[in-house]
Amino acid sequence: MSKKMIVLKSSEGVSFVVEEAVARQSKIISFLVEEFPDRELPLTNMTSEILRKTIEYCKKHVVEDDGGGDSSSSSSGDLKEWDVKFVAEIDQPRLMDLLMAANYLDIPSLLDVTCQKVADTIAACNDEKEIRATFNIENDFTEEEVEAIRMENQYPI
Amino acid sequence: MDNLSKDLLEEILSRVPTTSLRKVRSTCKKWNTLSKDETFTKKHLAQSPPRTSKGEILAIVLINCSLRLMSVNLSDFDHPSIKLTGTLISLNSSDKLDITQVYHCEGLLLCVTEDYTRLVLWNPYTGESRWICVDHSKYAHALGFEEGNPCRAYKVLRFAHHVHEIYDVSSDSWRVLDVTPDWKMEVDGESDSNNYGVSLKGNVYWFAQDKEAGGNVPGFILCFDFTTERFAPRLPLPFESYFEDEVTLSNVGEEQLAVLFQNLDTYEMEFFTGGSFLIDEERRVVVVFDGDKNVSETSRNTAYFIGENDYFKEVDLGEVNTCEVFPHAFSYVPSSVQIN
Repeated sequence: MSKKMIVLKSSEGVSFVVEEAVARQSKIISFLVEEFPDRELPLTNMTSEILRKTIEYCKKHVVEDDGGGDSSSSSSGDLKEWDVKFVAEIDQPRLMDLLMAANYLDIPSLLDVTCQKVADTIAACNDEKEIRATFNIENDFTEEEVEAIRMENQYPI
Repeated sequence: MDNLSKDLLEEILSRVPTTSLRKVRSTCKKWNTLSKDETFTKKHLAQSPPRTSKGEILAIVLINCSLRLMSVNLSDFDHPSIKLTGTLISLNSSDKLDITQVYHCEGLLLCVTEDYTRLVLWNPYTGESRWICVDHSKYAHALGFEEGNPCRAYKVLRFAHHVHEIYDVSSDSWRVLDVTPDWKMEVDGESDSNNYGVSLKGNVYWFAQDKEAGGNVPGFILCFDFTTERFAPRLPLPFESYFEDEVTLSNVGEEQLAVLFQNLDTYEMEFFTGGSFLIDEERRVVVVFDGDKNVSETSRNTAYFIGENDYFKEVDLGEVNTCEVFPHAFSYVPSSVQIN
């Protein structure tokens, strides 16, 4: 039996033909293919680049029910290692896009690794200035508020 | 980052380790507000518990007038270690605060400043704090809460020279308690103020001796009940201790009291009673914090690991630079409890 394929279309209109089992790791896609079989799914808020990354992740993580298929052979330790490498290779802005894609498509494990990577990046910053620079966040505190926060957080661990 | 929903931002920030919360809160208003939210703090504690592994105890140690978060590690039994995980005092030297006493009650601390003019109630995890201005007097303190109240009503007991006063956090005021002690908690002829009680389920316990019996009555455990605001009847110890024996209390988790007993006739090394100790129940080891015992005039703070079968190890904790404050340690589990 040939594998069922579905088509995902990026915001640029590029089509990606993906095995249904791979795409079904997204709870949203899983729902959509049941409701609208045989249709290509336009993902208008995802660029080709992010969609390609998302599919790459899903391919690695797919667990096939019908036996066979070497993609399910990775041990959980290997997968973890692969995940770490996967997110390490993505730059900051794209990581945020991927995180939002994982959230939008509802892929819990991808959301987990991307959130963890962002949290690790925050923790690795030396101070709040570096966090703001890294994530392009505006400092919206007034002088008084900065002082108040400094007093409040005189001790935090 | 700006277009992230609150849920997503919470998802990310709840994975940031506790030691990085300060810079998270200082980043922007949105992050500051979110990270203090109770739903966030609960999620964060569940998501990013302080990384304690097997054989590791997370402790807060008062050393040289500053509070440090330390990880006491016994996983390598032959080489126990104590590592600094974080300094609880702001790194900015201009607002460096000297702490001379610290009391602990389930994640909430009560610190006494070096000049004895201010107390601060503080949850080091959430950053919430409450300053209490006091007259310049040296008291011993205890921190507890009323039983059965879902919203914890914290109280501070302070005492010295027969004066017992209680502070209500909710009303921000002190009241004098009518207490006539028939006990004493003196330590090495010092006033009561060096005797740290141990908090358990909202009440505080001390080792005390009969005031009049002159050493003929065994020492006992004294408990202050923060619900009734009374000292409870004396609790006997499982052994008899007299005048110059050293007895120190500590707790094991949030449910049990532990007593360290040093008999005057048998001990070769006397630890300061006002000191403190931690317990690794599984390995049956106590960790005592004190000055260096190898020399008569101590200049180093030291942790002693003492266990069964003559297990004895020392870990140096650095130079003593304030002689009046002995190291004091207690095991610490971050909590999202709120002061008010």
